[in-house]
Amino acid sequence: MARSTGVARLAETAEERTVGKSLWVLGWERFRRKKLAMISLVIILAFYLGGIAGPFFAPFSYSAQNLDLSYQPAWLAQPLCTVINVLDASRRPPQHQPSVDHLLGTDRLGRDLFSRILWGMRTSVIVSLAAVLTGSIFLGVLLGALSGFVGRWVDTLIMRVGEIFLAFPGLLLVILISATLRPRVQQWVEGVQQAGGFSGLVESGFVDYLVVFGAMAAFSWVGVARIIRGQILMLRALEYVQAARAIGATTSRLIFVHILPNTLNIIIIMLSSSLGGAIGSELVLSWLGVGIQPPTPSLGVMIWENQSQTLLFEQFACRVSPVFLAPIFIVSVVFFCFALFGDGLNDALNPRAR
Amino acid sequence: MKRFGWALIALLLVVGTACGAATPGGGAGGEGGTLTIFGDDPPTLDPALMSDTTSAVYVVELFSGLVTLNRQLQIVPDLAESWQISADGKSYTFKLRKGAMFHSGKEVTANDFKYSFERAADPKTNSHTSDTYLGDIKGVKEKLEGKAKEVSGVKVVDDSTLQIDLDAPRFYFLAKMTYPTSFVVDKENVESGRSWTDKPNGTGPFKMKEWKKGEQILLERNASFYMEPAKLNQVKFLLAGGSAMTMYENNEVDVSPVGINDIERIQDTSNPLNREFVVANTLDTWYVGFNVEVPPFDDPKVRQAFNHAVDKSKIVKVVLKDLFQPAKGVIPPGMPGYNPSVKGLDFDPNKAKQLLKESKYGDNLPPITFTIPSSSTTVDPVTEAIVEQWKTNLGITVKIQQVEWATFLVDIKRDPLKSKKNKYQVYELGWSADYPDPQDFVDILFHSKSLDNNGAYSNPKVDELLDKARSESASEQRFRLYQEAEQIIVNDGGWVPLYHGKTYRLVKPKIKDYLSAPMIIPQFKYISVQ
Amino acid sequence: MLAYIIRRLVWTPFVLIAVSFITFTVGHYGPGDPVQVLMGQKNDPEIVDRVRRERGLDRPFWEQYVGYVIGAPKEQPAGMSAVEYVFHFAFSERHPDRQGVIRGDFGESYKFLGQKVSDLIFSRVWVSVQLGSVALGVGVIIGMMLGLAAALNQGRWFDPVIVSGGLFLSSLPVFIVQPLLAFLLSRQLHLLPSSGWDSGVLGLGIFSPKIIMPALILSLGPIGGITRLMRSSTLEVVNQDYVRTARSKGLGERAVRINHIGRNAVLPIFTVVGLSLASLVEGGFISETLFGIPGIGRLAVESFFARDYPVIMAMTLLVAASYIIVNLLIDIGYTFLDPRITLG
Repeated sequence: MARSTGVARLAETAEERTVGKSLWVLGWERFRRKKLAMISLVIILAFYLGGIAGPFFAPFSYSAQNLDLSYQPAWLAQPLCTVINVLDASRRPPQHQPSVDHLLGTDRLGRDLFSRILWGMRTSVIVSLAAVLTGSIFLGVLLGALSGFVGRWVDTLIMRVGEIFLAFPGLLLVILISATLRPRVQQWVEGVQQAGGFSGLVESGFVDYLVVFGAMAAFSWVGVARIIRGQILMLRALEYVQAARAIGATTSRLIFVHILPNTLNIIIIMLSSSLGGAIGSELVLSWLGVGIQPPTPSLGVMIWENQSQTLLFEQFACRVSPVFLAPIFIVSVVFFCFALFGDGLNDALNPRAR
Repeated sequence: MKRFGWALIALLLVVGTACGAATPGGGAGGEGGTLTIFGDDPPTLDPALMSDTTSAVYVVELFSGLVTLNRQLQIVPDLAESWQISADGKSYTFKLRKGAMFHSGKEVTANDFKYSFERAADPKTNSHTSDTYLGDIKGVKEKLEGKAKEVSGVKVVDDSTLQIDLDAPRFYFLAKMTYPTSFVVDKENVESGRSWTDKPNGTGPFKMKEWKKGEQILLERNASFYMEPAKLNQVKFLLAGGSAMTMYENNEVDVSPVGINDIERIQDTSNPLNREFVVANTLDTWYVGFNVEVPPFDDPKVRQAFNHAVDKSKIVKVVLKDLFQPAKGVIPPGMPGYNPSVKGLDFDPNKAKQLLKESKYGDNLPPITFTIPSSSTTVDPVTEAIVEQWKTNLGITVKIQQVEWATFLVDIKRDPLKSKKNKYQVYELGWSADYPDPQDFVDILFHSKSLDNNGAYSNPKVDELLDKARSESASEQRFRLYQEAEQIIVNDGGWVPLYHGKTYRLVKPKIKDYLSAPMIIPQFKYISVQ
Repeated sequence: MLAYIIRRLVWTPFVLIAVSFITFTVGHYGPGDPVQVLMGQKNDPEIVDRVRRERGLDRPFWEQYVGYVIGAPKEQPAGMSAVEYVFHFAFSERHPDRQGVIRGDFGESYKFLGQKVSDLIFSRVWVSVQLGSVALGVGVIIGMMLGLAAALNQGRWFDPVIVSGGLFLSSLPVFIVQPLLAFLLSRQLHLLPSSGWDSGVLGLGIFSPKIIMPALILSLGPIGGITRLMRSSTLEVVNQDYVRTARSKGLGERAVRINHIGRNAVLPIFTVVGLSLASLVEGGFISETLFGIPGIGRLAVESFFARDYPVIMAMTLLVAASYIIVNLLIDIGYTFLDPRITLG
């Protein structure tokens, strides 16, 4: 979980500049000219779409095993493999020949890797979106607006609490919370299920999602809240807002028409980094065994299950399917795209860096 | 594959009578040299506190006690040269070795033993092993409860004679004396401050030369050891981790464990590393346990069906790359009393379905949750494979539930006196040997009165056999009784025995007489470097 | 300015108290019983009770928390009125093993029996700081050069190539780079040790060849961010009037770069460096485990696997404290380096 202070600082500089709606339009035009950033945006959108829709097109169930077809190499990778074959010292032939059925081959238990990756992407999408939407957007905007508008002790309270939350090593605490809270949340959800007489909530992995993104969300609102508050304080002092007030504009109109549009660029920059951060946090949580629990696949679990040097070289040599390489490739590309996208956004929307 | 915290409890207790067997000769090989191996930071080096395998590796080299184990796991004299057992079996008189010294050069006397025993039994020491390992000595219980100042059963006859009185004759008492709780410590050293174990003044074949926490531990040969001193000059433990195989192949370590992903490569005879390959049993059994107090596993037919539905050999072959040995029974190979011809409930999906139909539940099974303890990364693929096989072969969907190890430990325990029941229906767990005797597996895990019988398995016939074995003194007879009980348990479907562990290691050819022992024993003194 | 710093300083202890309370609560209500875990599969309830009593784990939550912060009294209070109780708790002699966080005593580790958490942590921090500084130093130097090069060539084809190249290096996951380099440099060429740490005689690991590979790989992380920062802040400065003035007044290009651009562009880099040092723990989770570095990140991971809550709690507290202090220092540093900024 990235610390948001850097961005908060950026917001401080943003406060100083002159505002205008045309900036937003200008920014988009400027952004469109950045080819790399545009390509990144397309890839990121594809990742999110793939995560949402992909599982419907998955050829196999994520849990269907076939122990007779363990580590079948990827069909798609065949042309690439022979090049790197030198790395495999023994050059033993693969146990199974690739087939079109399994485009990316199968994992140790003979499960279709392609389907599992689609499902794993869904996990990343759900966790990162849920964490960012609830944490940054909902909590952040709400608390920021409260703080800015109400002022006085509410402002003090929110900002001081924010300071405390900011001071925490986010990831460390998220880990602690996921480890300690999960059993309790699990019990609680089971109780609700029994009381309500329905089932399937626990089985769907809901608890894992809840704990993982809940813990992340709790620590990601501070940055956005600070920006929103800063903007409100600044805009309140501006003449046209005072004018709008004078002619009887409501608070919500103030927020949505005057304040949000002017903060949107910073929020977007911030979101792009926290989305990437949330995907990264899922990896670490899974590694420590407190992330999403199997059999629900997640990219993190898939990476850590198969993290081994020898296995890595066997994958390069196409002796086994890319059980580690494929998920790690996807995650790295998404990280890289988020970085490029954020860079492009920054250039386009932050008028001081051109 | 020490996946669980339960590996913390490898105890070293040998029930055997082979006293005085000669120490095996170290073979050829020059003196000096350094052995570099992997290690972990020991949680403690205090013999009285230690109860985990990591610490034991160091403690048994740095300290020593009255008796010890040799490489054949037999009890042999150590600081005690010889001993006599009174006719009633309740009093042991140990004659201490003359000239045996602490690393500092101070001679070891019977008083040092008295101090060490009393210290271990002092409630302030907070030892949680003293009750188990010293509890048979008269007066230890009182001392532990804070009711006595001294341990009345430990008597110093003279400087080199120690008499130990027991509350009752215990044929395993000497075996317990090989466990570090009864090792001798130097009073001066212990009282030098809370971090005395950073510079332990022991009696063992090696001395602590350097301990950089998290980085390395350097043990140095104790030249004035009271028996044949070690051949190695130093043993260097690298504590920082890293990729074992890479370090081995880059000559950074002399011994490396072989993991599941490397096993195929190493077993390939055309690979030069294949010649440096050493395998050993680990005396443990992994199993799926059934709680027979809750439905549907109160019906043996259901248990048998769940047994027949699991294709163990395929799982072990594909998922574990034959790293382990599929288990048929309860007692692991390498253990005295192991029965290679025990008849397991083999994979037979048709019979499994048949049995399930015949059970009192028929097709109407209640929902089943399979609980596994978690404390490290990801679910064991073996568990996922088993659950999938139950699904395909029996048509039953079993839910996997991961529980924190700490919670698991509490919830799985039964206490018939407090009517506390095991909370889980079916669970995966392992059991490793505390001492090489089948009693440790069959009696402790399946006697209906045993506290460690988590599944509440109860069969009067088995109880009868086990009771009979308890009072039997001839090993042959005892082992036969245990084997008979084991077969009944297997037929009843008391467990789904999964596999027995093994360790795979690569050892550089220059290291001579390296032996992968199934238990932790003082063994660096036998090893030499060429 | 001074008022602002004083206000921050006064506020800091309250933040720390809140942080310690949250941390303690989470650790306290963690699953299972540490004593039970310690004793494993064959535990005897009587011994568990005794050990719990000995460690003060049977006391009420509030008492345990206050004891954790200010230290537990040597004698456990019994049969006292409320006022006496408070006085006893606050002023009587401290328990030698539970002196309280304010005296630098974070309690005893659950895993390493009888060892002080503080002893465990501090030697590890030193290792992490060494490795982190070397890696960060290398990363910052490379990143600054790349960023400067990109900015001065703005608009040319290699401007975006440098920036995205820097970002690419940063996005490379350490668990791909590490095995590849280890395979090449250690397994095949036997040039460098693949992992480990050698603190030598003075506790300095930076002179051992073991640091080369991890430092090299870890330096990739900050390169992307630093390149980007350096580029944009250089651009910002280049377009400022005073730089144009300097140029137009005929100052050599070199002098312009060093005196004007360099100094001002360095500012935001301070932030990055400061915050990177504060996040050593999280940054070290994976890399220190892969490389076998006995640093704070690896200790965190090991403690987590052993559910050694006192260590994790202490680390959380220390990181929070250092984060607060580093932030304060950064803010103060800013005002000194750039007089245009006023705080408050």
